[in-house]
Amino acid sequence: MVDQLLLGFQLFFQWNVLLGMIFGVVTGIVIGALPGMTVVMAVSLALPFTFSMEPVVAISFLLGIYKAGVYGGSMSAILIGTPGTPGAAATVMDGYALTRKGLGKKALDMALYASVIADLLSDIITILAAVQIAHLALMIGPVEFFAIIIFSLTIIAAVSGKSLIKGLISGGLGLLLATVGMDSLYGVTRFTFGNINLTGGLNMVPVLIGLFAIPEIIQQLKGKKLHPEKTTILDTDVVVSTQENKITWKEFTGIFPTIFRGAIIGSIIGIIPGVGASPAAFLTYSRSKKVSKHPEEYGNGSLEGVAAAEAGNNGVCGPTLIPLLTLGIPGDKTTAVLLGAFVIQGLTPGPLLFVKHIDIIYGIFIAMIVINFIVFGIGKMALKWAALISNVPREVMFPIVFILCVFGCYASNNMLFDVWLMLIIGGMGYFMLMFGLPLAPFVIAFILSPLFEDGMRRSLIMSQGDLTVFLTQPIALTFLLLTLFSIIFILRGKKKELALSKEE
Amino acid sequence: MDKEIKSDIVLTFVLLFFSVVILFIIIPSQINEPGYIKSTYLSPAFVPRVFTIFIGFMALLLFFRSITRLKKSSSKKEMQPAGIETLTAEGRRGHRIAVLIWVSCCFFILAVELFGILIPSILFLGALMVFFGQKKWLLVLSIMILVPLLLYLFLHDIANVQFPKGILFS
Repeated sequence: MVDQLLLGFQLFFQWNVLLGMIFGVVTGIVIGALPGMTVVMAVSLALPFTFSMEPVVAISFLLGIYKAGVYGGSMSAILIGTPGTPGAAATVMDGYALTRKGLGKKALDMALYASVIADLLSDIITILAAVQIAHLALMIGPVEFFAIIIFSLTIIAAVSGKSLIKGLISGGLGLLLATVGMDSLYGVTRFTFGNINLTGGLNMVPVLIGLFAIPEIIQQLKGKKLHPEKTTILDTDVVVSTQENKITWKEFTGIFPTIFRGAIIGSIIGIIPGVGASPAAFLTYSRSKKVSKHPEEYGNGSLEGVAAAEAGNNGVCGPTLIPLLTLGIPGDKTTAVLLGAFVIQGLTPGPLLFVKHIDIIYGIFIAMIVINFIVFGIGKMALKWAALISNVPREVMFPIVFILCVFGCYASNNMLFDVWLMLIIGGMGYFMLMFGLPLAPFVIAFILSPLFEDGMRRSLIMSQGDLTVFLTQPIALTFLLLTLFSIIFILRGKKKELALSKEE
Repeated sequence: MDKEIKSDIVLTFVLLFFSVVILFIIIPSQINEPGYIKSTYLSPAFVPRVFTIFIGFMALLLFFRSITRLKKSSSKKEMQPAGIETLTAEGRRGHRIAVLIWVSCCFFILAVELFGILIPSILFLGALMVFFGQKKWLLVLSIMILVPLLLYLFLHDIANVQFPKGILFS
């Protein structure tokens, strides 16, 4: 084993591997930060450039894009309130609120620390327990998958804000909207009104950008017209000192359990094929809020909230590779492209890869760890300049954000229809806010709805319509019981809140 | 009547109307349920139906909560806060501006369909900045040209995105 590890080090310590990683990280951060440009797109676009590279260089380059892209999404989420990638949707809630308080630099720093540490921890989990975890992943069938999704839907309560009913309405709308398009089981079209562009369902990128960016652009430009004296997005005229905008050692150590939680949740979610970074981020956010000493700060600019969301979405990165490397099963679109990269390099992911090319596997494992340090270094350099965005006048910043959204939305699918969709969803988002309907539950439900339906129907096909199937599988039953306890816990919490507000 | 309660009651009626229309008009006409599916749970219309009923049910809960709050607030005979009229006037003006922004964005996308993405983006970006109060012409000019142009070049030449050329130019 030591010989193979040394061979892995030998493969890794080459100047072109380091250069590939740096170039990958820079590309990933830039593309991740652009609203509409997804990590899958970045990895797919970079794939042709790897044809002539050596295996470790090629995979390290693509992994650099992947990991940095997931982190990069947080920059636009924090600075302009628009998630650069779907995984950063949970970061918007507290990150943007902190920017408006003049603490954008602090939020960006926290996002970077949380992303890198959680990613590093999840990589270590991946390396130490890849094979064992892969066997666990095989135990997750449609029934267990459905129970996990049901449990994840309880996140809606945590991000509902003041009114649980309105949060559930918003979630219901998200669940319903996600059913547009072709039914996955029978190929029947639903709510397409004869429009061929709707057959494939609603693309997540325009829905997310429309929901978060368009209402904010409208609000800010409207605010500029009504209150021209307020020049920037900052809510306060009080200038925040550089010292206040730095994370203190106490803040950092206090937030470490949240990051650790994110790494664990991200790792568990990461090994389940098809779930992805967004649910992991929201799940970590919701769990952290429940155990937090200051849950009232969540949604209003909580550093802990930023750390939870970012740790959750970056914690997914390493473990997503486990089913790919050990079983040859890609867990999501990005790992599917990575599978292509392996095949192009003449490597077939699966158990045999660990026997035939263990040196390459070790080389990739070392690259996974080192990429985190490169993300940290480059991220830290980029933050100095990125934080200045909050000082840009509103009438300059938001028209630019709109144009970015239009280009990004179009580029996500090469369809002008998506830009129209973004505008329509944006208009809907504005009205939802007007009626006090929170946007976050809508997003979570929209992301989880296809997984929910697919899991439920596949389970029922397997059991020939027998509903008791959800109660006879131990893993599924555990998650359903956890869901039940969560609901009881939420309702008790809301009752307490109500009693307290009555007393006041 | 309290502003929030009023808006909740309006929302209830909008959602109930929406649920009824989806449940009884749109689902039957837009989802074709194949006859060979025997189990209700497996029908392609089952999940949309459940979600729609859920929205309607939550709307009803919101309605009952609003009515309870309305009764409580009227029994307390709460006074309207001072300055609410001005707030409403500003709110109305704000909504008018919001609609104007949204409609102008729609016209911009129409212009993209006609003239391609680059020229309308340059003009729209400049127009927005000037309309919302930016007076530094050099700044406006440089941003309105550089941002769309750089984005176009990056996405078109590096990411191979094929942007619409516009009906009039293709």
